Amino acid sequence: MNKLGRFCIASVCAAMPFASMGGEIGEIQWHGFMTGAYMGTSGSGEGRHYSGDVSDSGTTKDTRLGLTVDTQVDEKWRFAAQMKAKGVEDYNTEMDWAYATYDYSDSFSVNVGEIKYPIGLYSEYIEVGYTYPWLRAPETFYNQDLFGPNVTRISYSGLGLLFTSLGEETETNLNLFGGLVDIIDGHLNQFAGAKLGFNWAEVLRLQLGATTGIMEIESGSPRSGMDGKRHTSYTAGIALDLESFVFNTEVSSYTMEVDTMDTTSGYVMVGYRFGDFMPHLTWGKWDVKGGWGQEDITVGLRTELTSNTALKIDIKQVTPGDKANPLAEPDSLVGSYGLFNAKPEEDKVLIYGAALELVF
Amino acid sequence: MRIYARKLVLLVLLLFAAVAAHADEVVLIVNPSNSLSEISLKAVKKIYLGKSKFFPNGGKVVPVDQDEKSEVKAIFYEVIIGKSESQLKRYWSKRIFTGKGTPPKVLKGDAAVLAWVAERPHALGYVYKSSLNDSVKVLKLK
Repeated sequence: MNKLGRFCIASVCAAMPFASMGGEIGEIQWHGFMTGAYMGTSGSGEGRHYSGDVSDSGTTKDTRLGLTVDTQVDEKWRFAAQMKAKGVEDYNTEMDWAYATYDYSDSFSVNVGEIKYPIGLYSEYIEVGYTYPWLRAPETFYNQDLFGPNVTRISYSGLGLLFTSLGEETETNLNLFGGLVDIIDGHLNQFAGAKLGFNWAEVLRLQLGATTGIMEIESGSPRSGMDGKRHTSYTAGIALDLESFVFNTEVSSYTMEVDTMDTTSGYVMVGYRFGDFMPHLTWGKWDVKGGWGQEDITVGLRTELTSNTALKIDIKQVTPGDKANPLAEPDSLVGSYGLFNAKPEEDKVLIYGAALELVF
Repeated sequence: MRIYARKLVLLVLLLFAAVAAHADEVVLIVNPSNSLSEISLKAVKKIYLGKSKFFPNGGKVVPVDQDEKSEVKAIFYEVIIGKSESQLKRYWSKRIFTGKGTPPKVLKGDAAVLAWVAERPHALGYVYKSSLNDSVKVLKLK
């Protein structure tokens, strides 16, 4: 998927004893995360797989782990990279992102390399389940399956300019970025975007984003008809965290120069912390003009086991649209009916699961 | 909203009480070669949260932290930084795993912090006032 190559996790672990903690020039910091997850579905029979891997026999493919390395190269340059191994990719270890940052000042910095996709409140740390309440971040916004909502991407290769203004308790930043995005069946070329963010003491976060790019799809792909089409997206997000009350919402709208593919999607989440326990409720909708998509409601509970560990339980009721995505072949691909690869017998299907999240 | 306002008032009162009880016990220290003599609370917060890499006079800063379980760290973060341990864990997780920064280096005990700051011109640390010696300079909090 990425051009930076694959890395053997064993060699990384072997190097760890030589790494020192610190923030000084030349010193290296190592951090890691792990998600141990199980998911299943109430939908029965062949061809009822949800998002490619969740079936009535259950799956642990959301299990993943990662290692992040960060070093201050000199007074201005920093380098950071993250390696990950995911169950859904048979634990092949690959580079998630790797980029260098030039800190011109506290108000302006430049990123160069393979950079995590900045659109979406949770995109940049989507692999780190500890940082959000759900088992999977709302799929009506964050799912990246071939025929999923595809609002967000994994990363882009290129350049990012970050302008920051710090107030007493506020941070406002503008991120201008561009380059190339690798997608499952091709590339998003001439990719460019902008994100405007506002953060008030980690209590309130606001975000507006826009991206555009030209789809380059491999000839054998069922999406080959989108080759050469311009993909344009607009997103907005609000996150409120009052320590007890938590509220999140994000919406998106995108076009691909194919009338039936115009899409709107988003979610609304509310949660309340009772000490170490946070029950939460999320409603999401993914609506494609051609008539397909899905609606879902998630009830979940996040429990802080220690300051580094969380246990999460989610139950999601999914209602796929009646109409199939004409580009997806039923029974063979994700996204024929909502994120199911075939039309479920039931109108509503439950997706349930639990995960243990760890950061270190 | 009224409950939230009451909580806010209570928090302010608690902070005043905490400052009264502890502010004279924890002091900020820099290397004696540092020309700075005072620093604002806002600047200290920015540095310890990784949002600023420079002292207000433009000099590079490398902050050093105390051990997670130490009382001096609990006082410093509750009173000066204004964040609890769980808030900090969430905050740093987001920065670390996006490559935006890492938390300050951690040293165990005032003696280690004093020695580390004394050897580095860009250093900023905090210790109990009673641990101070001549190898470092105290920064006034304005």
